[in-house]
Amino acid sequence: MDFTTETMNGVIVVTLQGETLDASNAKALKTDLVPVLAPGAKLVFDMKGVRFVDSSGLGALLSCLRQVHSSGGDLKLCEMGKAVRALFELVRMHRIFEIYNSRDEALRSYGAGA
Amino acid sequence: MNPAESCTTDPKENPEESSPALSKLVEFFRQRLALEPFGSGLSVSAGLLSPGGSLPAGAVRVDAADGCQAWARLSSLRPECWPAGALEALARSWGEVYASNAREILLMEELAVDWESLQALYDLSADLQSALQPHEMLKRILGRAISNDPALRAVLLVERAGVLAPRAMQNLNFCGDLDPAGGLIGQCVSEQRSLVLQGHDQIAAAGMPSEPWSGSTSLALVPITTSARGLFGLIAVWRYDIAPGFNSYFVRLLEALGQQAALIVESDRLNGTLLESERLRQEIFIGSLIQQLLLIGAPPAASVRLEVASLALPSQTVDGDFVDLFAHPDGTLDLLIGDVMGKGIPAALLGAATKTQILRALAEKALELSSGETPSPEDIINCASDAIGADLVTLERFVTLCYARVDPTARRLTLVDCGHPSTLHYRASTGEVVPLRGDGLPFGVLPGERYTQIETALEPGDMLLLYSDGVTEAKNPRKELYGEERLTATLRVCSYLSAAGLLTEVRNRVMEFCGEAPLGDDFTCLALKIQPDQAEPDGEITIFSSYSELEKMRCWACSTLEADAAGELGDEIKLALTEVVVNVIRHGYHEEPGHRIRIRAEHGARSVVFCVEDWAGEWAMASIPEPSFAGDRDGGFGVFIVRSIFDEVILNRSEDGRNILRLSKLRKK
Repeated sequence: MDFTTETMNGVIVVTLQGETLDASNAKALKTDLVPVLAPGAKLVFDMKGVRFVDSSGLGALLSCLRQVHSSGGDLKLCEMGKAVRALFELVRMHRIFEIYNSRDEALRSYGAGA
Repeated sequence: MNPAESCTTDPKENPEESSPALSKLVEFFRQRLALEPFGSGLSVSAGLLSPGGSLPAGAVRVDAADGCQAWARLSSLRPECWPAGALEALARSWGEVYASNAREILLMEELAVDWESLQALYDLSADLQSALQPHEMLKRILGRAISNDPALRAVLLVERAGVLAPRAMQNLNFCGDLDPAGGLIGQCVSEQRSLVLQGHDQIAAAGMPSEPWSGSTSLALVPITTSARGLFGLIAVWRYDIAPGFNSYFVRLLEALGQQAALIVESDRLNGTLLESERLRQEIFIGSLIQQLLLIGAPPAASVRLEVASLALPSQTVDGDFVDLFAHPDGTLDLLIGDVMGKGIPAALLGAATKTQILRALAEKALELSSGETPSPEDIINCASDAIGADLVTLERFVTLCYARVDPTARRLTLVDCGHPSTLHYRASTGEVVPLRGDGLPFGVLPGERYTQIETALEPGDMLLLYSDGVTEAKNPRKELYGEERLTATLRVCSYLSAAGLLTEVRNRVMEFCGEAPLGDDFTCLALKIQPDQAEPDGEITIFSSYSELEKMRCWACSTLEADAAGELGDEIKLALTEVVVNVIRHGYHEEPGHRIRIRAEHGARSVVFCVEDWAGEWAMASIPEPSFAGDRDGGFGVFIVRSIFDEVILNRSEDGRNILRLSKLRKK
């Protein structure tokens, strides 16, 4: 799964490109994201385009979250579709991730709003 | 095509006053052109050189016989393929061989040596112009040196990297290099003159025990020097029995033979250098052109039910691999793959000729039938074999090939095998790969060979892989062959891919296997896939054990649910089925691709049921640990998700070894 990154007021916004994050691409995404997850990084993952995530995809996101947390950074999610949100709620990960409706809200939570 | 046909002498440059010596020179050049693989497209012109006259552009000076000075020039139809000076260097080397032959004959006549020695040199001069391998010619030279006297031993040593290495020997067998500094060798080399020693004591006193002639009673040692290299090597002849010693005539003969040997080795080396640099480059250029244009045609537009792909990677040297595809009006498709034994342009041309003959045979046979029928593969091959087989026998070349016809309607494969590596047939129904092999000989082995076709059934999802031996004989740095077994395994696990995808995978796997080792042979493959039936029952889909199949499965699930007016269940069911299939691939098939997973939907009044079948070993979902909801582990959610979404989950093991997971979801009220 491709992604783009941009930095807004010190927050790195990662926009995931592609509709599906499942067992077919989760491992590759995890590897590709390694350089983005700098120690102490403040991150927002924009999930606007993502329409399907399975438990493998969720696992990749969890792995990113743990890595960021361990180095004093943070990772927040935003713009999550209905089906993806349902998965997060089903496995109660909405209590583990900070999830915002919009990118602006996520940025504001870092004190980096537009 | 005979390369000699393209060699001409330009009449304008061969004036009327041409001499017998000039005719001989031109004849010699023509013979070389006919022998050399790169002679094709080259022509020779030559003329006499008047005293003080200047050389024509691009020509070289040659000392012709009878004291004549001549010039010779090689021209190419494609001069841009030859670097500056290469043609001159080639002409110069041939001129030197020619002049040296002439000199040897002259020398021997002047020496008035016995008829036998003269005969020996005449024969060797003839050998020089023949197509014998250098080592064979060197052995003959030594044979002449000892006149086939079993009491004599002879060795030809050639200087290489500071030591003298044996290049040819007669009546003895030894290996190992000799030091050019010590013993009798050292004396012979440093004084640059021939040594003749007589008597056991004299040889023992001057020589060293490590020299191969230690213990002999008569010995002649002759150094060989060339103007280009200085010391070239030496010839030694000796015997152990009591006999008269070697006389000066004998030594002169050895010296003359030594010069012949030097010429052979030097000419071989020069040709080798040219071969490495220019001929190689030119051959690859011409060869790849031939392959592009004649041998490896573009696949025709694939039919709806058949998907075809071909792959050809030329190696460092061109050889005559060829493939072709013929689509017939009745919807059948013929696949042809062949391999001409041998390398270089002649092989590529023979490949093109064979392909042409097969095409012609196809047309001829089709005309004979004149009922719109397609001639049978065996008729085509027998007709082509009749046309070209005898020529190949004469040329001592042979061609292996496989001609296969795929009939997608009758679901039948008809195949004629002419000594080609097995065609691999993946059977979707069983998941097995079957090698298909006939018992026909290659074209050119036996004139009049009759070929018969073999037949087998084809099913949707089946694949065929045809290949040249360059694929199975690709070697890794440890010289192990890739082999049919690995290729078979690759086909089996990649059978879910398209024909083109399979070939990419085959190439990647072979390249990975070979590592740094370069391809020694052309690498040619042809793959065909019978598209799986589109008319699969709506309520069923078979996918392969690869994560890239997940999206296909989800599309199927959505459409089957929408048709059932249960579209609102789509998101959940897609997720749950994904989790099930991922678990089957991961825990059942251990992520090994190429295995099947079948999913069937049953639309009941109260519930929607999905049955997921796999052919993996027994595995239990219960063995997968419960998930952690604290976010401290990545995995383990799959089974939890499946159990949460479906109202009933039952796993059964069938008697024939299938795992059948039955998943029920109650319809929403």
